[in-house]
Amino acid sequence: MAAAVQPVLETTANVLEVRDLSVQFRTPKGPVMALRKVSVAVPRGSIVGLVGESGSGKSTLALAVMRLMPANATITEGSLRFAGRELLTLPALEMQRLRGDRLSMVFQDPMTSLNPVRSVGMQMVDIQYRDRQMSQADKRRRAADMLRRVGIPDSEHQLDRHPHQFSGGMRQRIAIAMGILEKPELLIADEPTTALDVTLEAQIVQLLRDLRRELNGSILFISHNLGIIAELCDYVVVLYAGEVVEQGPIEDIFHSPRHPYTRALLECDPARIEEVCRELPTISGDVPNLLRIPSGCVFAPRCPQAVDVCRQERPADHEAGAGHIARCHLLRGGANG
Amino acid sequence: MAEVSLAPSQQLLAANSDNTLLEVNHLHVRYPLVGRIRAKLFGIPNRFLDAVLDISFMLRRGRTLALVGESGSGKSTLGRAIIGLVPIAGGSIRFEGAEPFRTAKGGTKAYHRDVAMMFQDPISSLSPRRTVRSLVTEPFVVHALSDRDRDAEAKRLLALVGLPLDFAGRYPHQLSGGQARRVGVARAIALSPKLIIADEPTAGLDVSVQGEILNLMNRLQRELGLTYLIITHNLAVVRHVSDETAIMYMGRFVEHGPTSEIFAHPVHPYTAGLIAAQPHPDPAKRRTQVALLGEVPSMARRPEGCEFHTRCPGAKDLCRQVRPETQAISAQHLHRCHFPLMENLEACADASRRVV
Repeated sequence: MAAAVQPVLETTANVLEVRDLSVQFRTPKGPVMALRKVSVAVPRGSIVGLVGESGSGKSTLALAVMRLMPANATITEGSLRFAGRELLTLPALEMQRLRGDRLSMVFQDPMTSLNPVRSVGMQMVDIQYRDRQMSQADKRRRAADMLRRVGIPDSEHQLDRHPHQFSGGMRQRIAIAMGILEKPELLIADEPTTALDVTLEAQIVQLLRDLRRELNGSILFISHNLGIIAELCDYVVVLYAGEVVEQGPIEDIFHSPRHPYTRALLECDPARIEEVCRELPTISGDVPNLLRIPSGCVFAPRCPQAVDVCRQERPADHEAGAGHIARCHLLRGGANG
Repeated sequence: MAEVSLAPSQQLLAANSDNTLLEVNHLHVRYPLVGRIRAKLFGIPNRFLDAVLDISFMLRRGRTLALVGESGSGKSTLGRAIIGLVPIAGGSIRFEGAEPFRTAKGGTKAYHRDVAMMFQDPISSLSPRRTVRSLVTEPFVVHALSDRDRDAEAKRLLALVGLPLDFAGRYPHQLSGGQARRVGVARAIALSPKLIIADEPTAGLDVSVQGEILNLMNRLQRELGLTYLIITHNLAVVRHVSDETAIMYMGRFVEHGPTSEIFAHPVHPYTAGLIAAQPHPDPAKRRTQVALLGEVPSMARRPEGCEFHTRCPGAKDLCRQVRPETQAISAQHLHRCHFPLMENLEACADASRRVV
């Protein structure tokens, strides 16, 4: 059991460094390459947004980082470094120690991630099992404190209630409170506001901003909602069909997107269309079937600007600015796509 | 109809009603909090929860009305009451001048042919054991239209909603979210209805697919002359697809008017708060303050006075005591607020004066 102690390199500026990660799912129809050579970094103290349509691999990436992937999934290559430690070679027990302590996750649906038959207080005391010195009463007090921080009034009394006695918004706050209770270095939030009303979403965004400032934690925020990414994140990673097609600082991505997919995605957002129009823009075609990945660029079959080379060769990453990378043939030789 | 004998004002109404498809008057829907049997057995007086209160509106042919509100505002209940899925406790619903639920059984059946519903979450509203062909032609079976050629109808409907014909043999689990929505649309238009009630037609869809579904609904509206009642919480979509918008809060319309006017000059603080709560798609224009705090109170504990006073930034004593009545800014634009936002009120009044 005694794991080889790795030297912990706290000098790294990135809390999380995902390099060339590829994930394969075994399915009855054949292997599905859900992620292909994905590289993402989360700088310490920052909020990184992971945006993409359903099936683009957002949640797979999150689960891979947590090492909570389903049994038919395997990581075929790449590395996952968390605070300087390689997670892929970490023994299961060591990983278990990290999870929920230095690395935690908030899921989309709080009703399924909270235990319906235990009170909120008991669940919040449970997850503090690592601390053997602290008394139950102190743990409860900490739990109540955290509930108050996420905006739940009368938190002492709320501890004795069960998840079904809270509204959807309250449950998501509780899930977030549980996610940050142990002050993780990295919080992975997978669509935490998708099921909520805009008014609550705005409150959760404000809450995550405050928490980042107070705890100086880092957040990997997954969403398909461009508006909320624009509101919250410092960096954006755009995933399409299992590949990172563009990533960079938020302003670069939203003000000067370089990849045709990013541009198309931004154009589709009805909130960004100032003029009222009945006919809304769409991205024609379908997401490629990951059983048969197109040769060449993954976006070429739907790309309005695709040329011959796009259908034949895989594009390389091009640097479009400081930290701004886009994977597109049209950017080769400095040509503006 | 002997229109000659009507008073002038009624004549005007009658002329208008030609164009009016749906008319809802003082609609009231309530849910019992205690089961009927339990109430009888233990002699407890039954208490009720008012999900829809005093709602009146008219919907003209070929128009789109969007019902907007947070979860728990009663918008889905209103949609369900109009189609007859929940009983009405008071008020009336008139469709093409007749009251569908007060006529003989045959009238209600005919009404269900004229009014169709698109349910939230299309995958779970489709039976997993039936093929697309069977699903889209089910309405013909329900309405005993056995003379229709079901294969031909399935082909016609799939073509109308833009699905390839070979989808007829597929099962719901083989469909993507967008394709399942299209099947839902096909089911809704199967009997050539006049009004479609669409409950969250794009919830859970990616933005690119969302546009496709809305464009499809827009095309069908033009081609088939449909009238839509769209229930949604997505304001960004409402702005583009609807003619009129009604904002619901705790079962009441707090503001109702032309969509362009509501978005440009909301007069109810709740409407203004909802619009301000939309995330701004430009990272350079981030909001630093949260527009609307808290959540909708439970309908079982309805606040006194104006229901919104518990969250309203401008609430005064009057709001805590007296319930505001509906007031009109113009013939189309109504609100329910003691202290409407003055600037916007003036802008709306100016606009309507210009029209006159």
